[in-house]
Amino acid sequence: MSVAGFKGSRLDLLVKPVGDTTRRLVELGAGGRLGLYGPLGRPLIPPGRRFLFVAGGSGLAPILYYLDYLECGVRSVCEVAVGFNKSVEAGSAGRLVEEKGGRPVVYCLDTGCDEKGVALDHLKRVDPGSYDALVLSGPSEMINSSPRFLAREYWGRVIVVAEALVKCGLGLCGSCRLPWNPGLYLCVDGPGFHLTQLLGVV
Amino acid sequence: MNASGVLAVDEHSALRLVEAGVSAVVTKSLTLTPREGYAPPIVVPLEYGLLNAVGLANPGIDYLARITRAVKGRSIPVVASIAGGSPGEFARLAEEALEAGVDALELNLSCPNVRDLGVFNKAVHESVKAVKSISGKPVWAKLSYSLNIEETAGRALDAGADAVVLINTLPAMRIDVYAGKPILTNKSGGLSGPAIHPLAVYAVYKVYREYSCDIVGVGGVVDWESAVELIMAGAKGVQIATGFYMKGPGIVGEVVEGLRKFMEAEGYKSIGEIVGLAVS
Repeated sequence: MSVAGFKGSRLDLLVKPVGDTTRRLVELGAGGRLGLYGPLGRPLIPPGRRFLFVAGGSGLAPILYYLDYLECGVRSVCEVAVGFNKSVEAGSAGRLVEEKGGRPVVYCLDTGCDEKGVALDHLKRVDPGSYDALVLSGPSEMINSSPRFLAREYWGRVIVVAEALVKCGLGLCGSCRLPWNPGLYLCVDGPGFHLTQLLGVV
Repeated sequence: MNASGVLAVDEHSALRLVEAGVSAVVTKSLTLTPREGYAPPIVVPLEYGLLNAVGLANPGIDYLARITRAVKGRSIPVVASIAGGSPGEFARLAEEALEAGVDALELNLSCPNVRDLGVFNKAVHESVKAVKSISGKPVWAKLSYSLNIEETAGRALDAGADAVVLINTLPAMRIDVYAGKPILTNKSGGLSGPAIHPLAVYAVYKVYREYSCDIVGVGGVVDWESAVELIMAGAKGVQIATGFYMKGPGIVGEVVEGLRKFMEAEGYKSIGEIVGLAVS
C-alpha cells in the first residue's frame, strides 16, 4: 500500500474499498487500531523542477506524497493527470492535488470530469520534452500501455510507481516480482522504477 | 548454499543467489501441484530472526526445469527441495526433479507450517527409501530439531540418505497483544535465524557424534563465526536463509572471506581439518 502523505505523526493512506483489507480500512473510525509493517522499498526521486504525473485511480496515492516531497507550487511545477472509469469515482481527487500544490486534470471515461478519456491520453496533449521527469502510477494495464502514448526518445525520463501483491515484504518469497521484469521485486527494489529498467531497454 | 525457502522460487530469483556467490542453489520446496500459500501476514521480522508461515507457496514441480536450466547455465549446481505428503509422493517428485536435471535432492521432511504435507518421524525411513530407490543423485533429508534427533537422523541414514540437513525451522508463535490474536494468518510459523542457532549447533553435534555422517548445517548463520560453529559441530556444508534478510546478498562473500581469514590465522589448511573438530 502506498503512502499518500507523511508529516509528523500523521500517515495518510488513499484506498479504494475493493477487498477485505481496504473495506476494513475505510470502516475504521477514530480510536481504531491498524497494524503496519514498513516502510518497504527504496526512494526514487525524480530529478529537476518541472514534472508531469499520470495516475490511474488509486495510483494517485504515491503521487500525493511526491507533490508534498517535491514542494509543488513552491519549489516545483507539478501537473497531474489522474484518470477514473466513472466521474463518480473521482471524488475529491482534483482538490487533493490542488491542496498539495499540483495542477490537476481529471479524466473519466464518461462525462463529468475535466476531460473524457484515460489519464494516459494527457501524454498526447502535452510536450513531454518540456518536463524534467514524468511519473506514471497505476495498474499494470496502464503501465503496459504507456509506451504507446509516448515517443521512445522520452522513455528515459519516465519513472513508474508499480503495484504488486506484497506478502513477505523482505525480498524473500517472490510474491511481488514484476510482470515486466521478474528479476525485480517491488518490496525491496521498488516501488519506483525507471521505465527503461522495466522494459529492459537502454 | 542458500537454505530452501529463500528466493529460488523461479529462475530470476535463483540467479540472484548465483550472483550472491552461493556454491549451489537450493530451490524453494516444490510440490506436485502449484501452491498459492497463505495470505499475509506471512512473516514477522524479529530482532533475533524471522517467524514465517509462507505456506509452501511454489510454482509446482513442473516449473523446476526452468530454474535448473538457468542456474546450471551459470555452472552452479541445483539442489531440488521437494515436499511430499507420503513416500509415494516424494518418489513422484523425485522422478520429476531428476528429469529436470538437478544435482541433488533435499527432502523437506519437516516443514512446520503445512498440515497436509510432511511425513515426520514415522515415514522418514520410507520416504528416503522410496526416493533412494530411483535416484542416482545424492539424497539429503532435511529434519527439524527434536529431543530424539539422533533417532530420526538414524532412520534417514539407514534408508540410504547421503546426508542430513540440520535443522529446519522450529514451530513458534507471536501474538499481537493489541489485536489479541496471533500475528500470522496461519497463527503459528517456523522460527529461524540467530534464535535457533544454538539448537542447530547442538543438533549437528549430536548427529555427527552418533554417526560421523555427512551433514549440511543450517540455522542462524549470519557471519563466518556462526558458520564455523556448525562446521566444528560436524557440518560439511552450510546453508543460509535468514542471514540473507538480515545482511543482504553480501553475506555469502562475508562468510566465505571470514572463514578463509579464520583458517589462515589459526593455521588450518583445509575445511576437512575443522569438520567435527569440537566433537569428542
